[in-house]
Amino acid sequence: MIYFTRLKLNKNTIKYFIFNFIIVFLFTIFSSNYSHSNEAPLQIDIMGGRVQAMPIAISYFSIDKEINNNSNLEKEIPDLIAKNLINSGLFKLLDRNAYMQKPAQLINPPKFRDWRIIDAQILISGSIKNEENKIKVSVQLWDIYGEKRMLGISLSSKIKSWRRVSHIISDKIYERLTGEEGYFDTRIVYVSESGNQKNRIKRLAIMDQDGDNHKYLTNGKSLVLTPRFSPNQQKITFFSYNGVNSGLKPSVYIYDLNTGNIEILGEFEGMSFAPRFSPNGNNLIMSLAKNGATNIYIMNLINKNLIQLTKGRSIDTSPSFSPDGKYIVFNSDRSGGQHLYIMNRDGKNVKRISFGRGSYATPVWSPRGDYIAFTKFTRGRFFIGLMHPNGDSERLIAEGYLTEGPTWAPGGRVLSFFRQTPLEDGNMKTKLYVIDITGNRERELNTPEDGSDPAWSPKNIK
Amino acid sequence: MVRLIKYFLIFMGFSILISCAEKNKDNLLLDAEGGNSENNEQSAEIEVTDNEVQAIEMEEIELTIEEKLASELIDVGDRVFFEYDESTISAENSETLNKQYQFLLKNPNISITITGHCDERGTREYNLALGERRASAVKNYIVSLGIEPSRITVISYGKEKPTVEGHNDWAWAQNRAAITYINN
Repeated sequence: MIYFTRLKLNKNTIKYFIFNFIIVFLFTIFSSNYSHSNEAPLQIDIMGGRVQAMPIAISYFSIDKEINNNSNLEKEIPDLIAKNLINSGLFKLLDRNAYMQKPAQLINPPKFRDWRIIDAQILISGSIKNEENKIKVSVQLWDIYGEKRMLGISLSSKIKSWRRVSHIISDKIYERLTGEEGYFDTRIVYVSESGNQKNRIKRLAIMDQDGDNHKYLTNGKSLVLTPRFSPNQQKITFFSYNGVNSGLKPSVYIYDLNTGNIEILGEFEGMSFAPRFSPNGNNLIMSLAKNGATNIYIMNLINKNLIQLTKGRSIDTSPSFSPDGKYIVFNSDRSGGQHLYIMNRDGKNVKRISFGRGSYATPVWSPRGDYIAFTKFTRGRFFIGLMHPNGDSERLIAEGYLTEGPTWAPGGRVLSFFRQTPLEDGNMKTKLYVIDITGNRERELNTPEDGSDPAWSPKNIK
Repeated sequence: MVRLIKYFLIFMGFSILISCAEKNKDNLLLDAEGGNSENNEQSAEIEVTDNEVQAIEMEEIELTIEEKLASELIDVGDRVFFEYDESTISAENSETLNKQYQFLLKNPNISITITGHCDERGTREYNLALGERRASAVKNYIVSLGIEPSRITVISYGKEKPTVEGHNDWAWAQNRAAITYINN
């Protein structure tokens, strides 16, 4: 039994993706015939905490001779898929020198016994075929012990889009093996930092989640902070001191990735900051600070109508929508200390949800809705923590001299944040990190300079 | 630049005084270019005394009005400090701010910007709000004494522009500040 699903990207989705190349995809997924079996399907439970990495074999691909192939795609594509899967911490790649079957032999179903000998539980094989000006990449996912195909994918693209093809395939494999949404076909926007602490240069930069395609979006002349993606990831909202020397207030800006245009959201009485888009992208929530009080506002981006949601003399900031758009979580010092609160999207029905010792800040609702990630400061250390939206089951998953600013990858099982670590020479190292919600599998993201305020994009394909 | 020249001259002045002391109060000779001319008997001789050093300094420095005001503000006290996560105007702060008020009263044509700053122990967004609260507290105090609010702009830098580097109690205390600048 084979299921065909045909997805076609709409024009807008394509247009904004990565500036210098345009992709036309024909995207076909075949799902395998595993479902008739009574055996439990082979699946990794990523919630299992310290699960042992699953041994996985990823063969080099076979490739048509006609393809003008300077970049060794038959190795580059499987290598990038391997890098993605291994970075998740859930898989370990078996040494290719031990593989008994050659890529060309894997055009047919594998000899499962040959792969059991090297303890592979999963085999990924593939082929690259010539299609006029394009390549067609087909990948098979094999359950070695169950002796069946779990997944087959074919993607057509221009040669130069091979990285994105590899990320999409990685997502499909990850989804098939974990049951969780993949997050490899995504980008991260962040603040690239250089220079000493007193005169730090901070500029917006964007890259693929694996660090490739890195590029700067602003020149560093104005201080920029806290970039965040719009849900269709065509826009980035951020805070900047642009124009403060000529009388502009520090303000929220919107960067259009299609056009490169930067626009101020509006000129308000007071400083506007801490912006985030609503889940449908039509509204933006933020803080306005004036006369010593900071309150939360929502702005309709279509008619520019501004509504004040919180009132009073306290600091109410870092608002974040629930994925259904019905609630807003934020942090406030209204009780004295800094704590997390939830309110309806109209500002009514405010409820405190954090009650532990220490200060709670920068709450961010998971895209799945089941967790709120936050920054916590207690006993002189900073932590990244998680709690359910009702405040239950608080736990801390990362710590440091200064850790701050969690952001969720699509799927709500993996996060990024940034950490400042004091070095022996008195300077600070500030880097981006990725961790999963079990608190395991933390790794540093590679950036050309120091980095802070990461924001993970939504998936490129919905 | 002018300030640099000033420091340099003061430094020279001290050097000269120290040399004087070392030479058992022998007169130090300067030639027309101001160099040490003990070996140049022909040059015009000027006897350098304390007063003379003072005179050179007065002569050379031409501060612009803005610079004079800025240095006056620094003498008055351009910044006040806060406790952790606080924006209260302490007695010490109000003493400084009373002087800033007098300064503004004396110079009715200037307007100022007050920048609010925090130490690094807080999140960026919360500290932006806290910096605004601190700068506003200073503004409100000065306004309460009788200065037009329109003469005062407030900008929060949160923890983004620490005035001193360092990660200890002393540095943090220095960085929890509101600083007054004269607008150009």
